[in-house]
Amino acid sequence: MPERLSFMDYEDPAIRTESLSKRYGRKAALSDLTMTVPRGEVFGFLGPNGAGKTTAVKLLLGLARPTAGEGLVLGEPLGAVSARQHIGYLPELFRYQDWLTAQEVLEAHGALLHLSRAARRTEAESALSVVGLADRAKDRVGAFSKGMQQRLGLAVALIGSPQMVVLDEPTSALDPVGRHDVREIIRHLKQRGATIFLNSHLLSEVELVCDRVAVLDRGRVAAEGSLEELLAATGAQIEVEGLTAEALSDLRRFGEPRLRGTALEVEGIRRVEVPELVAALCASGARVYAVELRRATLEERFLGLLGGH
Amino acid sequence: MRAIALLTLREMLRRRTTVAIALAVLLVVSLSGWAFHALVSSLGPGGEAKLFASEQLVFVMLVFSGILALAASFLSAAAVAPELESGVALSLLARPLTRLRYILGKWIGLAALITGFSLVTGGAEFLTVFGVVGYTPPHPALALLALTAEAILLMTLSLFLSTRLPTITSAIISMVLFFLAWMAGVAGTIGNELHSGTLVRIGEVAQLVVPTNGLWQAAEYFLEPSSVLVLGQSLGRTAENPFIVLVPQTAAFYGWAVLWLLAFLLLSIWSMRRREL
Repeated sequence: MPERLSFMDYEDPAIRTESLSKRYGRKAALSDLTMTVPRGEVFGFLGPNGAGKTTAVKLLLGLARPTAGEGLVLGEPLGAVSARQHIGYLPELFRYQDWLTAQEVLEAHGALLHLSRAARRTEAESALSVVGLADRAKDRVGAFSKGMQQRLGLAVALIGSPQMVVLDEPTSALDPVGRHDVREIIRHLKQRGATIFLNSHLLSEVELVCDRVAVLDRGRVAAEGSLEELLAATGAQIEVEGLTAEALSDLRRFGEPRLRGTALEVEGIRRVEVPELVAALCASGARVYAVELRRATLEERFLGLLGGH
Repeated sequence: MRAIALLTLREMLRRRTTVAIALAVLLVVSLSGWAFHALVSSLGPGGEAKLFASEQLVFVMLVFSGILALAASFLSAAAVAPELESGVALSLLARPLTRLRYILGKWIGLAALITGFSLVTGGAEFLTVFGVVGYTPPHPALALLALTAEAILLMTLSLFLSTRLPTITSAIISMVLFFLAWMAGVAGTIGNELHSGTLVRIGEVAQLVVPTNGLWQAAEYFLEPSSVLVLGQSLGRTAENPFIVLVPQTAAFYGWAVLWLLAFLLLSIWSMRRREL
C-alpha cells in the first residue's frame, strides 16, 4: 500500500448531497438524500435490497442523472470527470472483459486513468497482490470464479491510489476468508487516508469496519450517525443483592426495572443515568456486584428502523 | 479515447467472430480464384476472358460487400451492447472517461478494424484475379475505398442502435436496412428501364435514407472496365442491369453520405450521453 495520502482535507467533505432524488418513471428509487461523508471516513450505506443504495452510488459516480437535488463528490459536481480520476469503484454487478487477463484488465483501467505504461504494470501487480490474485495475473478473466471476479473488481477499485473508494456489496460473492481480506483492505485504505463508501446489506460487515452509517429505507434515509450514536445504550444489567420492593419501585424513574433473583434489568435507561442508578441502589442498602450496559446490535437497530417491513 | 480504441481493436482481434469472418472471406477468395481459373480454362487467356472476368469480379465484390456489411453490423453491435448489458461499462464509465470519448474510441477502433479487413481481403481478391486472369479493374483502390465507406456507414448505424438495443437486434436491423437499400436500388434501376417514375423515386429515396447502396454503386462503377462504360454510355444508358453501373456517383451524394455518417455518429454520442447505467 502507498504512503498516507497528502490531500486529506477534513473540512472539505468527500461527499455532500442535498435532496438528491431519482425516479424511474413513477417509481421513486431515491428520495431526498441529504448526507455528508467527511474525507478519510469509512461510511456504511445500509439498507435492505431495493432501498436505493445502488441508485445513490450511480448518481454519485455520474452513471445516472438525478431527477432532483444536487451534490458534490471530492469537491466536484456529481459525475464530473475530474473527480472520477480519484475514485475507485467496485460495482454490485461486477463484470470485466472476459477476453482479457486479470493483469490486462487492470492495465486497461490504468490507461483510462492516464497512468504511464510502467505505472500501469506496477500498480496492476500491486493491486493483484493485495487482493490475492498475483498468481492468476496471466489468466483470462473468463475462467475466473465469481469470487475471483469480485476480488479482481476490488483490485480495479484500488488502481491509481484513489482518494475515495466506492464498494457496492463488495463481499457478495466471497467466502469468509475473502470477507476478512476485504475488511483488511478497507482498514489499509483508511490508514492511507482514503474515504471508503461501503454499500452493504451485511450488517456484521458494516459494524466491523465503518465509522458512520446511514440507513436507507425505501429511497429515504431512515437514520444517520456514528455507530456509537446509532447503537446507544438501551438498558443496563446489574447483579445486585438486598434490593427491597420499595427501592425497586423507585427505579421506575430510570426506566422499566425487572428483577429475577439477583439479576436486575433496567430497560430504556440512558448511559448518563447509570451512575445515578448505582448510587440510588447503594443508598437503598442494596449491594451492587456488577453493572453492564446493554447496547442494541446493529441488526436490532436496523430492524427497528425498518419496522414497517 | 485512445485506450478505448485500442481496447476495442484488441477485443475484435481476440474474439473468435473476427477469425470466423476472416476465414469466410478467405473461402470466398479461394473459391473465386477457382472460378476465375475455370473461366480462363474455358475461354483462353485473351480479351474475352478478361471481359467476362471483369463482370465476374463485380459479382464476387458484391458478395464481398455483403460479408463486409455483415461483419460491420455484428462487430459494431457487439462492441457496445454487451458491455452495457453485462455491466462491463459500469466500471469503464466510472473512470475519467466521457461518453463522447467512449463512443469515439469505439468508432475509431471499429473503423480501423473494418478498414484493415476490407483493404487486406479486398486486395487479396484483386491479386488473386490478377494472378489467375491477368486482369485488374480500372480503379481498385477507389472501389475498395467505396466498399470500406459503405461498411463504415453501416457500422456507425449499428453502433447507434447498440447504445439502446441488444446486440442481435441492432445487427439485424442494420442488415435489414442494408438489404432494403440494395433492393430499392435494384427497383430504381428496373424503374429506369420501365420508365416507372414511382420505382425510380423509391430507389432515389432509399439511396438517401440509407446511402449504403449508393456507395456499392460507386464501387461498382470503379470496377467496370472502360470498354463496358464506353459502350453503355454511347448507347445513352445509365445502367444496363442491377449489376452494371455506367455513371459515377455525384459529389452531392458523397457529401450526403458524409453528412449521414456524421449524423449517426452524433446520434450515437447523444444516445450514450442520455443513457443511464
